[in-house]
Amino acid sequence: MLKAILYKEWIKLRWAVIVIAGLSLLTLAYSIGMINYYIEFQGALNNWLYVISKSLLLRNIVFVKYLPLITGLTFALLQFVPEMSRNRMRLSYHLPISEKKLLLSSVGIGYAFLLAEIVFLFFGLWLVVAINYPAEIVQKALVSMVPWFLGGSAIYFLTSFIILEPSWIYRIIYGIVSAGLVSLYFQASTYDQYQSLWAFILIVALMPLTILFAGHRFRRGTK
Amino acid sequence: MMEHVIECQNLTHYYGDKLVLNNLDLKVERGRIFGILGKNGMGKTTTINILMGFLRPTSGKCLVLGEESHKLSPETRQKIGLLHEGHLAYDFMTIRQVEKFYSAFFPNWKPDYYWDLIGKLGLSDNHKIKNMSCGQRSQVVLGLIFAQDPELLILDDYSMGLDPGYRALFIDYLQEYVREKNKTVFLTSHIIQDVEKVVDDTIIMGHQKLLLNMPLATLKKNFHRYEFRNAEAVRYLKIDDDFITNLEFVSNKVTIYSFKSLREISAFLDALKLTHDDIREIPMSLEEAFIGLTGKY
Repeated sequence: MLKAILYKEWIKLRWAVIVIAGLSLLTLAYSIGMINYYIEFQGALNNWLYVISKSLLLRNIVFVKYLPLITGLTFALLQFVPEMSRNRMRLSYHLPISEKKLLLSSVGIGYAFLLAEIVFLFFGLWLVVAINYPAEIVQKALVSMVPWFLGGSAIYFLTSFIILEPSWIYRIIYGIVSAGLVSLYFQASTYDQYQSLWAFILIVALMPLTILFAGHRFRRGTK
Repeated sequence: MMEHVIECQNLTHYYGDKLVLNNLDLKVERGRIFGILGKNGMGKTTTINILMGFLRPTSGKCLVLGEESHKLSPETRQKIGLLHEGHLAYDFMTIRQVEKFYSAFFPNWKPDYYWDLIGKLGLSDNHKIKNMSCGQRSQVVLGLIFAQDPELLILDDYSMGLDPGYRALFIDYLQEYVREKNKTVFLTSHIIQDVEKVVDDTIIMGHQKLLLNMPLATLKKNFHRYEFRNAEAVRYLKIDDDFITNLEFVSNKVTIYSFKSLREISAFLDALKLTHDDIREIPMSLEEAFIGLTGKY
């Protein structure tokens, strides 16, 4: 049954997975170009100063910042809007599989694709930065970018939750709260701006539970 | 073997303060085709939603294949084929993809039923469901339900959006499948002429309650429409549960709908001193009986 759910989710996501992978490659190519341009334009010494004191790597790889966000949002919309339009979720709820297993496996599969995209981008960036800068800079830049990647995860879970929620009033309220919550993940513009990432990780880890809550409300017939 | 496939007791449901179902009792016997009829807003969709497990009743109990409808186990859901209003389907899938997807969930999957129906459409296996007409989609959905080989089929407004040709096709296949395999069907439709062709039992819903639950043959035998002319009748006759189920007056023509025989109605009119020399019974279709029971307004 899980294989069948994977098959269904793949049908919904396949083009987005390919397009986002393409965008990730373009983003990496752009990042290489930007880094080389700055090194050449500013000179190695100035570039070094900018990278150290102005967090140049965080400021100028702007596509990297928002690509996980776009990916999370796109995947959630593609997976759950078709399920909720015309109450199509009823078809899924009648399948001989428990409600929890159905919801968690659908979200788990979507998240696995998202994670694959994020890991691909993350390691791509690691390579791109590591070619030009020492390990300390690579570490600082990439650790500072982690909240953006977690933000992509957060937007995926929260968008899925909002779409699955059956009441429009609740959707609007959740949407406002979610926008505020997700924006916290995208505040960093300098290295080490966040004291700890654990709170961000914990919040994302708890988010799949919201899916069960919305799914249960739909099942109960909440309007 | 369980006697009733569906058994609802004291089913009551409110939407906010609005009472939609009031102590509804319902029993559906195995191996029969039940048609549930009712005007809009009479609680038909609410009943179907409760039976399908998408609404928890405010009070009362509804058992489907022995389990409460709002918490059916996956094993029981495997035995129930649902047709959702509007022939709901995963329309982002193709004909082949949707069959592959569903077949993984049902151990008794019978692909021949699906492909036989699909073969009649003359479409490629890669045809997307969203690019089909409502009639074509209905065949896909029916094929999927048949292939599932369920014990109970719940078909919510199966005729919605279908032209007469596809409606006839749907009914033909349904009848053949159900009779051959001894399945139980619970269906709703707005096209009562079609329901009449296929059902064994009729359930007619009135405001918040069941007006009638009986075999179609019994309804046709026992529910009568009488007509006579009497300009005075409008002053003396009124609807009552014992004799007159419904009444219509057009000019001096009186139409009485009743479960009583012609002799009993004549005696009743005699007692009221209403002349009715020209009284006669007018045969009714199910649709006319439905209007007779529920009224035109």
